Amino acid sequence: MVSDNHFRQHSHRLKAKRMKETRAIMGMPITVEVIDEHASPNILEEVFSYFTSVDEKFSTYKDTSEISKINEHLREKSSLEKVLGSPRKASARPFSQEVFHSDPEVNFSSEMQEVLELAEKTKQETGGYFNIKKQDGTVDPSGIVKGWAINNAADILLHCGASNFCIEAGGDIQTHGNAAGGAEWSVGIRNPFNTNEIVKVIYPHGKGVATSGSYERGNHIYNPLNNTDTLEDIVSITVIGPNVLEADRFATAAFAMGKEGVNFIESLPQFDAYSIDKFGVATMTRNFKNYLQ
Amino acid sequence: MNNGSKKLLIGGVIVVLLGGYALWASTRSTTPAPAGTTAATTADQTGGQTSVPSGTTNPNTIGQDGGVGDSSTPGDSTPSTQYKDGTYTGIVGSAAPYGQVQVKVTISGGKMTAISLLKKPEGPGETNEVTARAFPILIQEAISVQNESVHTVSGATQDSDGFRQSLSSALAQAQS
Repeated sequence: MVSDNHFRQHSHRLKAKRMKETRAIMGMPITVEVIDEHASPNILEEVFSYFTSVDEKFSTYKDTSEISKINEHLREKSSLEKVLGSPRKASARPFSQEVFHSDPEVNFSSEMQEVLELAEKTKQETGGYFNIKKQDGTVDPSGIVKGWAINNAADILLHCGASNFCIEAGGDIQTHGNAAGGAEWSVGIRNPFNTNEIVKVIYPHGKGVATSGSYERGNHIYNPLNNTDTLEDIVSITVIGPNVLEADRFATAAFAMGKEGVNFIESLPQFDAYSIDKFGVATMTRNFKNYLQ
Repeated sequence: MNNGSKKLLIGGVIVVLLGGYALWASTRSTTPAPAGTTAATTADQTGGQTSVPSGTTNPNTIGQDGGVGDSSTPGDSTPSTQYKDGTYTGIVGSAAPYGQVQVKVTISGGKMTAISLLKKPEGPGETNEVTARAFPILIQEAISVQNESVHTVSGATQDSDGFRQSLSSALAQAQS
């Protein structure tokens, strides 16, 4: 009797500790799940308002965002250069510098500066396969903002004392600790040929997971080194990295590399990948098996 | 499954794996004749890839050549051959003069779920790189639909279709 009562209380407490909510922010569903005794109920609110603030700054769909203002400026500059001629080679300087020095009167927020520098670093680390600069001279850092924001959101949760959580935004994931009932967090890899299905189950063990692919909107990532390359051989690549930011920035670049992407990930210490080609054949790095249990 | 058809399956896989190799080797007018692989499987020469041709040896492979865009539903295809579950190691095939090749296949739920190379041909000196390309050390498998429940799903971004976003967001909430 006593133990039964104890069990009931215990399970009630377990249930009460679990908070999960999905909201559409940054143009995608974001799901935050926290399983913690000490976590405050406001913790989810805090994380969602962080994502909202990121959206305000980085959304290329919002005219009022900081990135839109930068792009407006870049567009003016680019059309001016078409008339007057470019004062120097556009690629002569690292991109972040190019933007920063484009107008001394433009004040960049520290977050914008951080993201642009990360983008520049990623471009160099991937031999130019990651590039936020578009052909019209504007920039779109969306390929890195998502992973960056999830990673920061995870830091917020840790700071608030949460130790068991899962944040998923648009298919990129950061987990920490354990799922409900002490289970390992499990992540399905979406079937690129039927998005209602999964084709693999992985256990990230606290690492970050990001998938880059072409099945949602046709070829939404192009090869920056060869614009005619339609990247049709590989339809999806899932990358596991030290955290979701690392996984995200390398997943984008690895997908742009096509068939070579998985070899590129194999060459990176602490990274693993599972890529799926148009025939439905998956290629995985040698240590990917460590995440299958 | 009788021994004959098992041999046929494993032999077929080796022929397939050797397909890409043969493509390369033929430029040196040395076509390897894998031992014991007289099964009349057509190797789909996918440019040096060790992929399994759709619908040949693996009924679960998703998407025929060029069929990425079509809306055929994978997973509901009925295997034309019922394999017995287990792990099968193929015979050592010859890839003379560059060595030997041997594969291991895993059958699960009557479907082939993994192929791995136990032995791969190795060439001397400059040919190493070519051989490595034709036979990547990375592991390959045909994808197969999993019915396990998971906490979350990783997939490519859905960032344009407002209706769909709203719907998935609603569904995610409905699940919690």
